This record gives sequence, C-alpha cells and structure tokens, in this order.
Amino acid sequence: MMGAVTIGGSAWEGVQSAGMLESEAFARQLELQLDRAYRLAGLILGNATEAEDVVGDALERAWARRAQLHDPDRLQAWLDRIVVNACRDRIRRRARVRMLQLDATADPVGDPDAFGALFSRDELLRLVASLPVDERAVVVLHYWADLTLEDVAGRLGWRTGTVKSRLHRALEELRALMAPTDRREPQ
Amino acid sequence: MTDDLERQLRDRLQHAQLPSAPDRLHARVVQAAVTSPAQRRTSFRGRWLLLPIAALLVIALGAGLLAVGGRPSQLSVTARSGDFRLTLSSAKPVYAMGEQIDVSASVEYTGPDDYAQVSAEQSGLVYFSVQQLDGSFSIPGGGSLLLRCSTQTLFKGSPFTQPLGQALSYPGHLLSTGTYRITATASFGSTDCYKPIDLGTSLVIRVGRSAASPSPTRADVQPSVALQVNPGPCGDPTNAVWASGGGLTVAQSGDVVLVALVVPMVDVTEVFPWSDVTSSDATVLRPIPMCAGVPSVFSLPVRYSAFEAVAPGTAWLSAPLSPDWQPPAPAASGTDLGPIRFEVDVTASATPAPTPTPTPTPKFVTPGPTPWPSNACGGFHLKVVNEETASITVTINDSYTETVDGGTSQTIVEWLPPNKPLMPWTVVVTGAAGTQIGSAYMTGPVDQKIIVSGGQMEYGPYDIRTEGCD
Repeated sequence: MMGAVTIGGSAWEGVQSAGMLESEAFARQLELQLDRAYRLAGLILGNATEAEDVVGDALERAWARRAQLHDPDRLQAWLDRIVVNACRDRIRRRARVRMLQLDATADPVGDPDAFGALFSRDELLRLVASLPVDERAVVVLHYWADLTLEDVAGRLGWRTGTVKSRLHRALEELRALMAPTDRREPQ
Repeated sequence: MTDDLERQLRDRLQHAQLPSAPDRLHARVVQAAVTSPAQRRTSFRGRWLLLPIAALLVIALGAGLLAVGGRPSQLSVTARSGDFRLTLSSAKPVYAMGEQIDVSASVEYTGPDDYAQVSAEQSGLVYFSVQQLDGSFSIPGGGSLLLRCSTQTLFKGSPFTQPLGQALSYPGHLLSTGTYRITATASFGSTDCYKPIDLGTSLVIRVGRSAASPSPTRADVQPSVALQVNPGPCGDPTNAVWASGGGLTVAQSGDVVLVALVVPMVDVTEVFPWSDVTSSDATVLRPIPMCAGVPSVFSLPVRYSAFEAVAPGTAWLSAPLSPDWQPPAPAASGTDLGPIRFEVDVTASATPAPTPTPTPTPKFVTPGPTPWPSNACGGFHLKVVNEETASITVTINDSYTETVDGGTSQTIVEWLPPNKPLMPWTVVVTGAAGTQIGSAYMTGPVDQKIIVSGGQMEYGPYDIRTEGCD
C-alpha cells in the first residue's frame, strides 16, 4: 500500500486523511528528499555533523508542520526552506556555543568530515563557506541546486530583488577574497 | 570576470562529490512516523533561540569565597531550571602548577517524582568550556550533537556527574599558571534529544606558580576587568577581552560597551573593591542602565556597567577604589589593587541603520533610527506574553519557534555578535486550534513585546532595561 503512494496529486491527497497511512506516506516522501537536504545543509554549513543535526531539526519541523503542506508537489521547495532556516538557526547558535565533535577529538583517525574535507580541498568552496549564511544559501541554491533567482526567492521567502542583491554581494565578496590570489598567480 | 566566477561556482558545486545522508537520518524519519505529533511538537519548546543563561537561577555564588580572610575549601556554583539542577564544583579554588584540576559538574533531578527520564547525545549531558581570563588559553565548549540519542534515568537524589577531565580529554587535565573560567552547560530533553532544558554556570579557578605552595599571591592574581563591545544577552561576557587595566578599546557610535569588574580571588571581601565606573566624557560615552536581573554566573564577585558610544571621540572609563574597601589580609607580595582606567576610542558608525522592508499588513513600525543594539543586553528580544488559558504558537519567518503555555511568557532573543540580528521578522501567533490570532512585522532594533489576551494580539516596544533580560 505504501509503495503505491506517490507524491503528486490525488494519491497523496488520498492518504492525507488516513491516519497512520498519512504518516507513512509523508515519511516516505521525506526519505526521498533526505540526500538533497543533507547536501544542501552540508554545503551551507561546511560540516557533516552539523548538517546531520540540522537536517534532523528540519525533519522534525517538517513533521510538526506537515499539515501546512497543501501541495505535495512543493515538498522539495518546502523542505529546502525549512533546511535553510534550520541552517540559519544553527549559525546563530554557533555564535553562542561552539560545537566540538568530541568523538573526532578523541579519535583523530576516524572518518573525516566529508563536507569539511571537500571545503579544505577546494579554495573556492572554502571562500563560499566564509560568506554570511544568507549569501551562502543563495549561492548554494542558485549554483548547486540550479534554481532560478525567482525559485530561490520562493524558497527563502524573500523578494527576488533581495536575492539578486545578496547574490551580487556574495559574488563581490568572493571576487575580493580571490583578488590577492589572482595577483599572485597571474593567468 | 563575473561570468567566469559564476561558471566556476556552478562547476565546483555541481561536480563536488557530496556524501549521502547517513542512515541515522533515515532512521529518524521512520522514528518520526511512529511518534505522536503532539509529543514531538512539545519537544520543540524553547528549542529555537533561548535565554538559557537568563533563565538560570544561580543559588550559590562561590560558597565560602565571601568569608573575609578565610581559605575556601571548595567552590560550588549551582544553576536551576524547573525540576533540574546543574552544580559545578571544584575541589579547591587554587591549584598548584602541575596539579590535576578536580572539577566536575552534576545534573540532578529535584522534581516531585522518584525519577525523570532525560535524553541527550551520546557524549553526555554536560559540556565544559575553559577560558583563561588572564591569557589566551581556551577550550571551546560543545559536544557531539545527535550522533546518537540516548535516554538516561535520573533518580531523585542520585545526580549524574561528569568530571571535567573526562569530558575534555585535554592532556593530563593540567592547566598552566593563570586564572580560568570553567563553564558547564547541560542540554537535554525530557522526551527526545531536543532540548527544552538548558542549564549553564561558571566558576573561576586559579593555578598558582608554585607547586610547593599553591596559595595565591597578588602577583599571581591580577585584578580582572573586561570591556566588551556589544555584549550578549544580559551582559554575558563570554567573548570579552580581559585585561588588568590601562588598555585601549575601540567602539563605534551606537555600540554598547560593557564593563565587568571581577574581584581577584585574594582580594575578595564583603565590600566590593571599586566604586562605580564613570565616563570622562558623557557626550562620547554615556552611561546607560544595565538590564535588570543580570545573572551572576561567576564564582567571584563581579559588577557590570554599561555605556553607549554616542559620538566619535575619546573617553576614559575609570573606577577608583572604594574608600570602604580594605584588603582582606596583608599583601603577600606583588601590588595592591588599584583604580581601573580604560581608554575608549569611539569612531563613527560604519554601518547605517537597517532600512525597513515593505511588507504585507499589518505593518509594524519601529520608531526612529535607533542604532543596534537598543539595549544593554545586546541583540533583539521579543517577549511573548500569553494571558489566555490555552497555549499559543509563535512562528517567525514561517519557522516554528515557540509554544507559549497559557498564563506564561517566553522571550525569544536573536544575538549574533558581532553582526546584527537577522531581521526582519514576520511573527505569526496562532491559537491552540490553529487559527491565527495575529501577526506582526518587526525590523528591530527596538525590542518588542506581544501580549495575547481575549483572543486578540497587541504588540509594542519592550523595555528590557526595566523588565529584565529573561
């Protein structure tokens, strides 16, 4: 029964009022979005542990507010927005408490942080990680998720003009950060 | 150039080898599907941005330290929230160089039942951080989050105790000569790993130079002064720069400069050593009231003052020794306490006040170009007072934020030092049945208060200086 449930249209609506089936169907659809949500959070936060934590938060938020999702086709956009908001919450929290993965401290030869390793290998991504979180979110959604600025605005709940200005500012900042390197290494 | 940068961004991001979501997250989805929505919603209470420190009740302030001339044998500071108590203890206030630091924190259930079940991450209920007050040594606080959610039972009268050394695993559990603030933070939930309960408290210990004689001298323990620009909620000087006086601080017009005077351990008496801090030029740096209820999370006496940088210029902040203060014992060595004097250079504000963004009705109008922050507590505060009998739900920018029970209030704070809070906020309040009671648009920086009563919602400025930071 659960396997027959699809995200679109009447099939989804058909299970919305069916108690546990609604939960199962929603859980199934959430699972399909997990990798994307985790990668989105990882690219914004640059840390796998925090990304996992944030996506966990986002799942809980999504679960608590699932009745607000009237159009199942918009699940991805809806979840994107929740994930980005959760990332912003996490960044705020960072200002107060620095999270330290104690297990990693105790065992430095353990699994490396996949996002951290990626950012340490790639100078450009590292610069992206240094941007303010809102600019980072715009860059990731526009260039990684390949969303139009209008779609980015829809996900973030901003006006398109706001997205444009933040993207412009992000690119300016990236250019400024890259400038010394450019001078040292002429093309 | 832009095209090239954009191409690079697209290329690097889209071709990056990104990991898949770990199995733990998949398990959480399944777990969510079999857990009642009401239970999960409850678990979010207080999760967003809370005031853990402001909510604390510090019931013991360095027990024994205030005894004139006495040598305290143990430091113990306790914070309480609801039915839980966090106690941070040190076997002694002063350690010899090379001596193991015997500090531990315990979480205890004090409620009416025989036990309480709490859930936290695998790494334990308590996190520690260590900050040297007279140097740069620092171990940041934190813990592994949600690596594995585990449930523990706290029996009444049997606290869960976590030693500092075991928690941090720093080499040999040793600290070099200096004065250190050790902070313990406990975060746990009553139903799952979300954390409706946050507790935190700090104490100060000293590591003396002499291994043979750990007794502190004045040379060991210099007076501590912290100046901080735009402090956190309720003057929490977590990120303050500590010095022994004579320093130069640069602030911008509109900044709030917090001064914290901390009495050195050997000079603790019943009389605070310094008189009030004054500004040499109130047109540059004017005194402003501190928010009420600043928590004393130190195990040493501390006194806060706050000043607002009004206009570019230079002003001195100074505090003479109080004429009533006498040293507790003849000076063993070193220098006596002296007056405090700090120079503050105020520069013009580089950042203009945020411009309100046009929004849907109802539009919330913030009066005047008030600079950030508008209060000595830092950040932006929204107090929600629910005078109804049923609970209400607060959503900020479409993100579930808080449930406020009937007859209670909650304060939501946004604090992002050194950056300004992320505004604006579109705040929506809904009743227990899910119907919207009202909404407000807030741009800051003036703190706001929402009052829900009789099915109606009112909102307006919140004077945190008189009502306190909690």
